[in-house]
Amino acid sequence: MISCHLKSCELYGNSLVPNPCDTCHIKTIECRYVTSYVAQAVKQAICLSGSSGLFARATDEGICSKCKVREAGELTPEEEISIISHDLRNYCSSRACRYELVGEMEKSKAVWEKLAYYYSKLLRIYSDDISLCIKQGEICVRLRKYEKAREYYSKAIEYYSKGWGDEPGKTDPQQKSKAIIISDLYVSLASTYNLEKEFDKAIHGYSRALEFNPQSSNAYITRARAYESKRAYDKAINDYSKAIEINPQYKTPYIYRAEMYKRKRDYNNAIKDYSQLVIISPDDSSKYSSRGSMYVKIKEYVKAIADYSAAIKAVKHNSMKAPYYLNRARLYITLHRHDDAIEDCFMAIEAAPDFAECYRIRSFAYRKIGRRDEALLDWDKYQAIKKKQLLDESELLNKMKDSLKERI
Amino acid sequence: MNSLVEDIFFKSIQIILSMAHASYIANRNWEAE
Repeated sequence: MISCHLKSCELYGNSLVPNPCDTCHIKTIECRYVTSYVAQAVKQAICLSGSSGLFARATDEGICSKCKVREAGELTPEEEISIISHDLRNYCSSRACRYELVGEMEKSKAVWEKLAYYYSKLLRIYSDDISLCIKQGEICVRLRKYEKAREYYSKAIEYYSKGWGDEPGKTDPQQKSKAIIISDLYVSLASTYNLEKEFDKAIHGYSRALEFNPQSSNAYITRARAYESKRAYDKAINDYSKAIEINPQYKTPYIYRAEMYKRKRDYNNAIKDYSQLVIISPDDSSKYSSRGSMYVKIKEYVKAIADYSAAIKAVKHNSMKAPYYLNRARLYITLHRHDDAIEDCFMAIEAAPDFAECYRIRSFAYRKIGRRDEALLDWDKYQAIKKKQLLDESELLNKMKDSLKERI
Repeated sequence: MNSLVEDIFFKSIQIILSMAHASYIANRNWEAE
């Protein structure tokens, strides 16, 4: 069998040598050179040594592919057919698809690693399909292997930039879609720096992306986030504004620009952004509430009350209305409308009976209008809920400590 | 802090992937012809 493998190596000029697996100790093939001929060489090995040869695939690790397959679970009938027909492409595609089918949120690190493994196989077979390279980059980001991800994206950029020249701005209109891909790849590359908190390198990458596609709102938004991290708020606002110019219906840059204005205590401009958001999505209660809190900052209490009323009307679930009722109650107290404040507290308590703050505010309102007994009752209720919450929290903390001790 | 960057990254990568794969298929078909 070994001699068959060696024959196959001689046939294709690859350095395929028998190597024992760390798990099953069976001698298998390890390919020392990754070339486009690997698949053909392995196929040849299969022909010479029978179906088990399929597992003698290129691997840089000590565990043979057969053991890896066992780890990954039972084979599907289609995969078995792929094995019998010695079709490595179908086999790898099928395994990759199986792991792809696991929901994005449910994918564990092990699943992403399996995906990386099968995509690397596919990339060796379809070395001219650069989308596999981009996919590997994405998987590396999922696995927090940013340096490796950058290698894949740089390779993809190099592939698309062939014959491009040094002046990305002067592109042939027919190559616009290519320029968009290059730009997006630069955004991806820069984002790996951004996620690693290397903001200067990230900003440089996003700027490069904008040279290829000045209409990339994603490049402006992500660059703005990098500027935010460097506390360059004016530059961040400028980039969010550019993103808004490109797509005035895109909510995200308004939300983040409003946040920037808030940090700069420029509440009037923040209100303008929230007003745009209210126009874009009039059913979103949180935008009314955010604008309401800005009106409070500039002491426009009547307008703030109107916004909290709109938020109460917009929100669908009753329990979600409680914080808006409470905020409106606070404003009524500021305006000495204590009866309205008490009514709002009733509504908030009805929506969320364990919302302690509502009892405190209602107690305050009762005291202001001389209803001392009701004020005391509410104060006791407030204290009782707070005490229970503190006990629950300490119980939870103890449980967490115990579970940590068990792990250690 | 970086959830927006990650969000944009993962969404846009799907678009790039489909564009790159489409251009790969188109090139392959063109070569076959």
